[in-house]
Amino acid sequence: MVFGFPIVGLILDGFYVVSIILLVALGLAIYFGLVGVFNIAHGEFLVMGSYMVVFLQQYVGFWWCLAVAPAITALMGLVLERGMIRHFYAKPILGFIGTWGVSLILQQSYGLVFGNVYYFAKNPLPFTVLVFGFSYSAYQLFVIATGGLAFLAFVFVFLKTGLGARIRAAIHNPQMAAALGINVERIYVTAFVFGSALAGFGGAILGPMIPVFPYIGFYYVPQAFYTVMLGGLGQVLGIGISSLVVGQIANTLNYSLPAGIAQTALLVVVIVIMRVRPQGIWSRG
Amino acid sequence: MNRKIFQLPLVLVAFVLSMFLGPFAVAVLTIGLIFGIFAMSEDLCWGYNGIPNFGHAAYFGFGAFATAIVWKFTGLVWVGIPIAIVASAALAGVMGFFTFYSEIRGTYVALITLAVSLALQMYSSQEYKYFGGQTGITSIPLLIQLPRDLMSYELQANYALVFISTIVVYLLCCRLVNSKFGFLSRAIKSNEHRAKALGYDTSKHLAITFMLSGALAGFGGALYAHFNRIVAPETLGFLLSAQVFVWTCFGGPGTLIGPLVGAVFLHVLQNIISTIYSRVWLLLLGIIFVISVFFLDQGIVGLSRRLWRSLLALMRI
Repeated sequence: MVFGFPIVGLILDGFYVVSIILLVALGLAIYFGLVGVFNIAHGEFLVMGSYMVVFLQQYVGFWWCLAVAPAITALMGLVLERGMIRHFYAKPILGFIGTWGVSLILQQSYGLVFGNVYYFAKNPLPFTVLVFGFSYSAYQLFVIATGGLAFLAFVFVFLKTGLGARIRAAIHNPQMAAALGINVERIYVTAFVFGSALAGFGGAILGPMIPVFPYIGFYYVPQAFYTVMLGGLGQVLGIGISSLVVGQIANTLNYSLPAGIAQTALLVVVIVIMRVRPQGIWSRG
Repeated sequence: MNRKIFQLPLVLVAFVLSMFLGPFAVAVLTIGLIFGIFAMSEDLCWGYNGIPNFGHAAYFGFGAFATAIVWKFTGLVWVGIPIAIVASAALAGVMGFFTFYSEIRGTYVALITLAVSLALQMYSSQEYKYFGGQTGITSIPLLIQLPRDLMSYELQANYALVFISTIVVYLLCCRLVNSKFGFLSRAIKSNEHRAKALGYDTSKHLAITFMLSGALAGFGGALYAHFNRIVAPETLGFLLSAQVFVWTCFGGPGTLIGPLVGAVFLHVLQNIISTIYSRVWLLLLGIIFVISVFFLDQGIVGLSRRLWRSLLALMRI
């Protein structure tokens, strides 16, 4: 017990928040590094993933939902990228504004189709595990492990494979990458579709832990904002570090303060860090 | 100059005609004009300086809450308005200082402003002593209260007050954007590096503009608190921020009259549609949003100017 909190539980909860943030922010950060468009509708993709779990769980097992939800949101991402954002590569800020409109449209469509009610998904691992003498939800441990694995896989692809090298080249200098024969536009699409799939996966994995309703996406997007802002442009390790910082701080604040006040305090912390290190936590110079 | 001579009687006629509308229509128009002031303040940010302020409702709502809190604790009505302007300006000033002096630009500004608005909304919905929690502050009195025998003109009197305020704000903004200050704004919008190379302190300019815009939004918010008579946490939040951005983009960013007309038009439209189909308005708003971004780079004002010009060209042939 530290300051009256069970310390193991506090840290594990913090890692749980970090995992969710990672799943939401990784895709956003890469596409933001590539094109400069920040997809606000990402939160609605997350919600779509949660809805998929809620409804598909009645027919197939939970683990199948984890595969189907990313496929659906990847398709939504493909439509959004090809249908809209593609036209704004030269003016990213307009693309950003456009996704804001799409976010409103999706929220309202969920409200009309699914209704403004709370849905609850079944927890597939409804038991607890002892961790260092602290009894903790097995499902949340599963989420932590998945988030960590997803991040490691991501780092591997980004730093060790040909695709990763092409993505890094396109982030660094798109004209030069194109001159070297890399199809930059295809990389943009790949990154966006991949990020959308990751958001759907995050939503599906979050489904059993939250009440699902049309506007829930916006509780998760701000923390992803902060992570991307602190992480620095297109740096995967930076995203890892900043998600750790944001997630653990957010969780600790949530333990000690009422939720709304904790959100404001988190924002203040982030703004102060940004003032001190405008290039992001991890970048040099 | 001769264009202004035509505009004045037009505005007067519109004002006199709108006085004869029913009480519901007058109330809708009052709020619409207040939103017009709010949209003009967003236009100073986005239209003239290219600051993508995605959380402008934070300053509007902050002003509204400041007025409402002053009224709640002291019972005074008019004092709240200057206090709201100062409070919003202070909040915007602090945010502008942290943002622009950190060399934060473009999309990051959009993220920070949006986050501020969301955080304030969450904060105010859980703070009960001052902000009143989820319900907010209710039954705020109207700004002008007439004696009992003139009671039936009360709405009209308040409407007139808002109408005059809107005109004054519009004229002041016109002065501002056509001054040296406004030209520097446009210079920064088109190329900040060049403006900086010419020796201007662009960070300072952006921070000051942001503060002015926040102060103006705070004024709008103070009026809103008294005419809407309820200030809820949503006044600070995401949806209103999105709406003011739609009004600005739809009307025509960088034209001042565009956002004003856009706000009034879309607010009236919202009230008409909401009375028929209660739940489709926001969906429609999203669609209008996307269309404004896609097809109207200068909004309806730009569109009508283009049509007017081609009409003139046709007549010459």
